[in-house]
Parts: sequence; C-alpha cells; structure tokens
Amino acid sequence: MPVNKVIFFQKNHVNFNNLKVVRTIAEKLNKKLVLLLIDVPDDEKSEVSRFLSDSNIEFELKNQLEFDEAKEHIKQEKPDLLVVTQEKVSPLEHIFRITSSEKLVKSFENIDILMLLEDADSINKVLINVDKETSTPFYIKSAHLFVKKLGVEFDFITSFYESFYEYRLRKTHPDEEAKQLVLDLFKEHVEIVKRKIAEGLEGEKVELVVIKGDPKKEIPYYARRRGYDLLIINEDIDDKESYIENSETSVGIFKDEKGE
Amino acid sequence: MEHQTILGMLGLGSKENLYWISILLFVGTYAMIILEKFFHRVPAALMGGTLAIFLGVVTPEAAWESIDHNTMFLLIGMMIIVSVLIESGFFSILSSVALRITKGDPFKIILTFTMLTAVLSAFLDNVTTVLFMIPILISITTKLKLKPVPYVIATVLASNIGGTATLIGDPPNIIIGSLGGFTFMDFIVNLAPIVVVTHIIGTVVFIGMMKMQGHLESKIVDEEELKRIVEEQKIEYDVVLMRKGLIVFGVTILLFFLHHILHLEAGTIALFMASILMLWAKEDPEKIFERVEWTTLMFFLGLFVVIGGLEHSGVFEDAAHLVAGIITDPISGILVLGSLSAFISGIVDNIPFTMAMSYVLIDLGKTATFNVEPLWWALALGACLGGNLTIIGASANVVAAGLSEREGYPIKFFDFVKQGTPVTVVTVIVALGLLWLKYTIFGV
Repeated sequence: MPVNKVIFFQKNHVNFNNLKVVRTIAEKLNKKLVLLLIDVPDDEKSEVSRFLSDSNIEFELKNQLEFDEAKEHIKQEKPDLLVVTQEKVSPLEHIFRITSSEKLVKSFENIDILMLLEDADSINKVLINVDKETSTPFYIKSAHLFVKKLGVEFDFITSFYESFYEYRLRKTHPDEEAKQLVLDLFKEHVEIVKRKIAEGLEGEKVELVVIKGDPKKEIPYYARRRGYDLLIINEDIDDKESYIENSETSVGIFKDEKGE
Repeated sequence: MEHQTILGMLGLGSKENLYWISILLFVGTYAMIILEKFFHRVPAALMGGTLAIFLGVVTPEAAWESIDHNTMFLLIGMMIIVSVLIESGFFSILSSVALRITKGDPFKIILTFTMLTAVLSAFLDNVTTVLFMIPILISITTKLKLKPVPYVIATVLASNIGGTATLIGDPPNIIIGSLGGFTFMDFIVNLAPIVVVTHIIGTVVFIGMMKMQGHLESKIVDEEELKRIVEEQKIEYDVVLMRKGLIVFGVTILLFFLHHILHLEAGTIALFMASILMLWAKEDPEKIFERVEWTTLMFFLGLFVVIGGLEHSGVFEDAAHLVAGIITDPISGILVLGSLSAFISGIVDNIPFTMAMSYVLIDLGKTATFNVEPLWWALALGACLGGNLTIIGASANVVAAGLSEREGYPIKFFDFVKQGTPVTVVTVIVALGLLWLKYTIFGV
C-alpha cells in the first residue's frame, strides 16, 4: 500500500497506546505522520511532540481545529491511511450508542482507515477478510502489502454462509441433493476467493482460513477468539457497519479501488 | 340458507344433541391432550376442532370467528420479533450477563429469572415474556448441567402471576378491562399490591419444592470448571440487527400502552411491527419463520374451535348463569367466583372463559342490588392465577412447552401439574383472601 501520509485523528485527549501503534506504522512504512488534534490540552501536545521526537519519523501537529474543519481537512489531504481511536463498549451498551469514531468513519470514502481500540498498543496478528462477492484484488494486494511492511503475523479468512443456502435448497431439493449442492457451492466459494487472492498477490502463496456461518458474525467472533489484534475488511463489503460494531478487536477498512 | 350438517342428515341435528356433542368433543379432546403418551397435543386439538366443524357443531364460518384473532396475531407478531432478536444474538448476551451475575448458582438463577419474568410479565404479554426468557434459561441450565424443565415451569408460573398485576399483563385482564370498563390505573390500584404479595409467597412455594426435589443443587462442583463456563461462552452477535430488533420491540411495547387511545388491538400492533422489522432488518424471512412456533399456533387454532363449539351451543352461558345463581353478595362472591374461575381456567384456556364470564357480570351488574366490582377483580385473579394449574391453562404455558420441546426438553402434562398445582392453590388462596380482606375491611 503506497502510504504517503498517515493521519492520526484525536479529540479531547491523545490516546498514547494508539499513538505508539501509529508511530510504528509510520516508521515501518516510512511515511509522514500528521496529527489532527481537537481540544487537546497543551501539556498532552508537548508530550506527543516529545514522544515522536524520539523516533525518526517526520511528523506535524495540526491543532485548534473545529470538528467539521478537521473532517474537511482529512477529505482535502486524501491520506492513504486515517487512524482513529475506537472506544471499547460492551455489546449491550453498543446497542444504544454508536461511537464517535464510527460516526466519523461513515463520513469518509476512498480512504484506508484503522479504528484502533482504545487499549491497542501494538499490532502483532492481523486477520484479512476476503469476501467472495465484494473484495477486489486491489484490496487484497493493498491489505497484504500493509501487513508485510508492518512485518506482522497475518491470515486471510473467508466465511461460507452454509445455513443460508441449506434453508433454501432443502425447500426445493431432496436432502441428499441439497447437501451435494451446498457442497458444490462451498467448493465454488473457496475457489473464487483463492482465485481473487492469487490475482491480488500475483501468485504469492498464502494460507487461507475457511470457516462456516454468517460472515458478519463469525468473522469478528473468530478474530476475537483467536486473539487477532486487527481485522481488515474491504470498504464495499455488505453490512460493513455490522462487521465494525460486532468486532471487539481493532478494525481496518481498506478501499477496494485505487480511487483518486 | 340453512347449514346442512352430517348430524342433521342423520336426524341428530337438534340443538340439544349439538349441546351434548360439543361437551363430548371438548372432553374427548382434553382427554387426548392429557394422554400425551399416546397422542401429540397438536393433532389432538386439531382433530377436536375439525371434528366440530365436520359434525356441524359449528359452521366453518362460526369456527373461523371463534378463533381469537387478537391472540393469534399477537403470538405470530411477537414470535417474529423475538425470532429476529434471537438471530441477532441478544439472548446470548443476556444469558451471558445473567450467568455472570448469578455466578452459576442455581438458587440465584431461579430467583433472578422468576423475579425478572414477573416484572416483565406485568408490562408485557406473558407469551412475549416467555418467548424472551425461556431460550436464555434453557441455555444457562444446560450449560450448568441442570435439568431445564423445573426451571422453565417455575419461570412460566412467575410469568402468569406477574401478568395478573396490570391491564396489559395477561389476555384475561385485557378482556376484563375492555368489557368491564376499567383503566390501567384501576388494575394497578386493585390488583398490583395483591399480586406483589402473591408473587412473594408463590416464589417461596416453588423454590421450596425445587429445593426438596433436589433441583437447586449445583451439578458442577469444580469451581474452576464453573468459572470457565461462566466466563467462556460463545457469543456471536450482530449489534446492528439487535439495535433494529430492540427499537421495534420498544415501539411495540409503547403502542401496547397506547392501544386504547389508538383503538388498535395488541395483535394488530404486534403483527404490524413485526412486518416493519422484517422489512427493515432485511433478514431472510424463511429463517425468521423457522423460529415461529407453528405447532403452538396450530394447537391454539384447534382449541379455539373446540371451545367455540361449547360457546356456540350455549354451554358456557349455562355454566356462567349457574354461577350467577350461586352468588348472592359480592364478598362471598369473591371466593366463589374467584376459585371457580381459577379451577376452570386451569383446565380450559382462560380467554373464552373470561369472555363468557364477563358478559354474565355485565348482566349481573344491571340487575344485582350490590356493587359487582369486586367480582370483576375476583375473576381477573382467578382466571390469571388459575392458568398455572395445568400446562394448557394459559397461552404462556403452551408456548413455553413448545419452546422447551424444541430444545429437546419436553414438559409432560403431569410434570407441570406437580409443580403448578400447589403453587396455584396457594397463590389463589392468598390472592382471593387478600381481596376478600380488602373489601371486608374497607367495604365494597
């Protein structure tokens, strides 16, 4: 992923756990880091400057911005990566509250975004979801490049929604025939995903984890249970909000096409 | 045009014959339901209902009209809404929270669930509450290697007791409120305090019985294992779907509160809101409908027609007038009508019975020399609490039995009676006693 500029957006306070991650990303990708700060106390700003001065990265602090001004700024800057902090809320609390970072993320298109959980201070293990319908080779290549440059452990994953097909096919076909058709659909699903990956990675071999179930529930669950630090999904995936809100890990939303 | 019937063609179509045949059909159907070892209750009820039409006890039109559409719509609507909430993982999360709070202690589980169920039942329809609570309870008890059936029964009993407190808590109360002209606050003032005391005493009885039967003993003694079960649960959820489901559910409840102002029946509201949810959630309707308890609905369908036969041939009317002849003053009437209502509601569905008795009380109010208001409250207490007597006494019992059976834990008729009857006897005595005391002390 050709990152030229990483923007780290923070409101009221700076999350130093996340800043550590952002600094590492900027270092590993060798890109400039721009911090957009809204209503951040001066002592925190000084601390941020001190923290970043210790590294070799080029950075810039832009502060005293209004929220809408900051949003416009992000849109104009067209960063290749925007990093925001995602509040950690329980699923029950999440029903009644959409976090500010989720609201913010909704207003951007064609920007790769990382929503780092507030306690995330490192990324060591990444899960890259490949959706049979919407993931593009560009997205796969971009996500792969990102994790390779970070030098972290990663897996590609796809989920086949078996019961969805079973419900339908069992209504129209005898049991055995329905089972066979579902199996054929499963094989086709895996084949298409593998083909997309091969296309995106230009033949480079990677492992693909295949699970079964409703992807928007199973994939975040898998990421949570297996201790992944980051789940990457593509921007145009169906039910994107569900993937984001169902995750209890940090989420990356990467664009499907190069864009402007 | 006169309706031609098989009995008519055989020369047996007199009103008197139809009267006795409707009673025979009713007794036969209930016998088949009780003899569950030989017959499944759903075909038994459908057989009774369709035989009533076949023999001409009721015309197909009258059979259709005898089905309480409000109840059917309410059941279908709420089952759809609850199905979406199940799909969203809402109950898995609630189950996980409940398990963490109770730390897997069977006593705390039963206490938490019965109290929560009773409170919810006061403001929600009992069937809705049961549809909410039973899946969570079964999930928790099976994880803790406990037998789910006693817990399910105790929860249903609490639901029927809690539902007695308000106008919207139980279908008989909706009928009484509507036909007797009572407001939401009338129920709160006259019934809620009695129900609170009754619930506490009822809880002591069923928890005591469960303790004696050994159902409150923890089956997992290893603390580490218990901790692992409590903490390590597979919770898959969809927050977006959950949010949509809960918004629709909340609006539905709000509309239930306003149903008198809107001149809409609860069933219409539930079905309408369920349709909105299905359109909004964009979930596969096939999958949602899979969780709707169609067998329970078919059971109700058959039962309504069998009872419709009794209503149609005037059996209920005669029974009700017989009761009216016995009641000579409101104070003794509380005990007579209340206990009789409890007994009859325990063996037949309390909705048609409450309806028949309500019309008798309306007539009685016109001719009696005393205030009949205490009798309305006695009817409410008897009809609602009596529903705990048998598995077919209340809609919530039947729905809970269906849910439990689907999960692999069928509830036998006599298993329910063993737990339900003592609780019913105690709660009916306490509730009617308190009502009697209230009118004896403060006057009618």
